[in-house]
Amino acid sequence: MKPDALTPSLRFNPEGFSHVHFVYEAEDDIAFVHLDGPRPATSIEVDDAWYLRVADGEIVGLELHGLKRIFLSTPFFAQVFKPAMAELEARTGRRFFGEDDADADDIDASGSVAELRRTTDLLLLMIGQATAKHDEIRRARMAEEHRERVSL
Amino acid sequence: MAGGNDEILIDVPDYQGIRVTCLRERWTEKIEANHPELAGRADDVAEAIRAPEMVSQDRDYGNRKHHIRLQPDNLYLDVVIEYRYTAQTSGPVGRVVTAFLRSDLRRDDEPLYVNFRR
Repeated sequence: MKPDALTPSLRFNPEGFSHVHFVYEAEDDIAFVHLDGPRPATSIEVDDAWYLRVADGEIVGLELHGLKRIFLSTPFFAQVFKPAMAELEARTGRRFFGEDDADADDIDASGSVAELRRTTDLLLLMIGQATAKHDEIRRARMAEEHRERVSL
Repeated sequence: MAGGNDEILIDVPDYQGIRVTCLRERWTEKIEANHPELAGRADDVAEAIRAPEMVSQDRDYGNRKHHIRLQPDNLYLDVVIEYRYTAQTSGPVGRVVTAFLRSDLRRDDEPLYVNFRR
């Protein structure tokens, strides 16, 4: 069964992965976080430009379009991204954003959960938020379908 | 240069006749690398660009559009194209930013183009 907004629940085990792979494509402003991956998956949009990657009902990653334009212009996300960005920059020797887009580097870092602790913390927070948004969409659709059935 | 990093893998007109390309390097190192589910499916991506069933505006970038086509496995192939003007061309040209399979479409998206006839 394909996962979608009506899928009863997405599975996620916070202790069920050992490696994190973070990729940021500067030119396109797209970020990926893969858990023990990349793995083949389907994307579920939980908010503008924010996708959960799901394989057989299990969350295996995140995809964020417009990382700089959307997330880092939001004070809350800018704050929570900061430790992970510093960790990833230290690990790769590259920098996320300069004064303008032309200075931005691609970032490609992978490591164990212990090696990328800040990045893993960020990932868990983001997946928690995304799962809550997914449930919100699912409940709204169920309510909408219920209303449609009742009005028939 | 056949087989080189700058080899063009996808070169098709979009639904408005605008040329859209994707280099082999981008396809293998960016798109397939982060979306293994699309391995070997460059032809499907080209078809979604050439004959999309729906096109919607990207919510963040004004110069990007999502070209969407339903696949036989009942998933939607979503190809994000960025359009730019260059000194070498008289009109805009497009390049593939990314592509992915999605299980569902947003109900609040206002389509720019719809064609569900095959």
